[in-house]
Amino acid sequence: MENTVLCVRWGDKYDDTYVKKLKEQLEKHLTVPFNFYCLTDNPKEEYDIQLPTVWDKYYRADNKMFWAYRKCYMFNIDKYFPQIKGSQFLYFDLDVLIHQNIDCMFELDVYRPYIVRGWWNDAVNCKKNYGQIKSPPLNSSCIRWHRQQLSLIEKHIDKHKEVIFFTYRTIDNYFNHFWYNIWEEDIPYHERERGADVGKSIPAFDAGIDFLQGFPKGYFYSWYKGNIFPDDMEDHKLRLDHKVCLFNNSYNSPDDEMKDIEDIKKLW
Amino acid sequence: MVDYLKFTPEISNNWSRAWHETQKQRPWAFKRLLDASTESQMESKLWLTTELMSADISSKNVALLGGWFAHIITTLLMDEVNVDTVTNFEIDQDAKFISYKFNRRYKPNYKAKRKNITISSLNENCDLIINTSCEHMFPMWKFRELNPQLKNSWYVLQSTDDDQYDDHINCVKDEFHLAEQANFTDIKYSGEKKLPNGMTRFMVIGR
Repeated sequence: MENTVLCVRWGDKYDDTYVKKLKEQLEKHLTVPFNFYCLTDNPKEEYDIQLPTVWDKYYRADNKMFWAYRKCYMFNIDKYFPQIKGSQFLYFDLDVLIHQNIDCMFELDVYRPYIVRGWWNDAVNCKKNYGQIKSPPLNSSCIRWHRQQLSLIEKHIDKHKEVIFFTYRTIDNYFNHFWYNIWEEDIPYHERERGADVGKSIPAFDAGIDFLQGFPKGYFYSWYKGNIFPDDMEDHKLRLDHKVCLFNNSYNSPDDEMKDIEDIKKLW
Repeated sequence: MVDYLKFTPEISNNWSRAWHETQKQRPWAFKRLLDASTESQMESKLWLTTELMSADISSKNVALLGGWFAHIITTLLMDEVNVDTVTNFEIDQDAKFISYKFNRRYKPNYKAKRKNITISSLNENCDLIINTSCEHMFPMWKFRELNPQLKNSWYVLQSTDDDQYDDHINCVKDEFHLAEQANFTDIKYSGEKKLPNGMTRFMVIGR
C-alpha cells in the first residue's frame, strides 16, 4: 500500500514556508514511506501540482469567508490529478504543528473516511445550530481516506455546485449537513437506527449522512479553542501528549498566525 | 379571514406533551421551538391561511418545504383549509422528530421527511407547495427545475428583506422579487406584511 500526504495552498494567506515546514514535520514524524504533494495555484517546487480552477467562478468574495472548497478537488484524484501516486491518502492543512509520530494515521482502517471531529465543540450547541448552518462539529484540517473513496463527495459538489456554494459558506458546514451524523456520532455505525423515531426504518438522509467519521479523541486539539468539551478547554496551551495541534484562525480574525507565536516557533 | 387557531382539547393534549417531551428529550431544541411559536410566527401563518383560502385554490396534498416544527401551519391547513395530507421536508433531525409530536392527532396524514429539497426532487405527489423559509435557502427556481412533475401545483412562498441574520442567505427586496425567483407566470396573490417583531415579510401565491 503506497502512502501519500497532500496539502493545498492557494492565494497569499500562507507562503511557501508553511509547505516546507509541513514537509519537514512529516519527514520527522512519519517513519513509513510516503509521497508528498502540494496542490497549488502557483506551482514552483517539484512536489507542487497545479490546482484546477473550474469552481473558481462560484467564489463570492462578498461572503468574506475563507473559501476552502478548492480542497475538494483532491477527493477525486483520478479525475484531476492522475499523476499523483498512492492508494492511502492523508491530507493536512498548512497551519498544523505535529507533536509526535503519526504512523498510526496510515494504520487506521478506513472503511469510512476520517475527518477531524472537533471535540472542543459542545455537541448540544452543534445540534442546536444545525438548521442555521453554523457551529459544525467537524474540522477539515486533516482527512484520511482511500484514493477514490471520497470521489462521491467531489461528484456531489460538482453536480450541485450552484446550490452548495450558495448555501454553505464553509466546507465544514457542508460536510456536516451531508456526510456526518451528529445525532448518532456516539453510536457505532452498525447499531445506528435511522428513522427509529418514527417507528420504522427510513433511508439515511440523502444517502451519505453516516459516511465520515471523526478521528479518535487524543489525536488533535485546537490552539484557539481547546481540546475536549467541557473538561479540557484551556486555549493557547500546548498538549504535547497529543499528535497534532490545529490553528485554524478564522478569516480576518485578530488571532496570530502560528509563525508569529513564540511558543510555537520553537517547535515548528 | 382566519384570525385565530382553534385550540381544541386534542391539540392541547398533543402540544403539551410535545413541549414536555422536547424539554426532556431534546432540550437543546427548546429555544428554537419558542422562536417558532412567537406572535409573529402565528401572524404570518394566519396571513398565509387567509390569503390561501381567498385565492380559492383547491388543494388536498401539501408539501411544506423547510416547515420546521410545523405545529401552527399544519393545524391551520388541516382544520381550516381542510387538506388531506401534509408532508414536511426538513433537513433538521430535531425538527422532524418534534413536529411528529405536535401533530400526533393527524397521524397518518401528517408526515415529516428528512430531505434537502434544494438538491433532491420529491417523490410525493403534491398539489400545493408551501415554503415560508425562502430566505434560508437557494432561490425556488431550482426546486421547480428539480420537480417538473409539479408544474401544475400551486406555490405559497414567504420571505423577507431582513438580512441581519447569517442564515438569511437569500433575502428578497419585495414580493415581486420573490415571485421572480420562482419563475412564476400565474400569480393569484402577492403582498407584504409588517410583523410584530418588526420584520417585513413578503408573500406570493402562484405557479
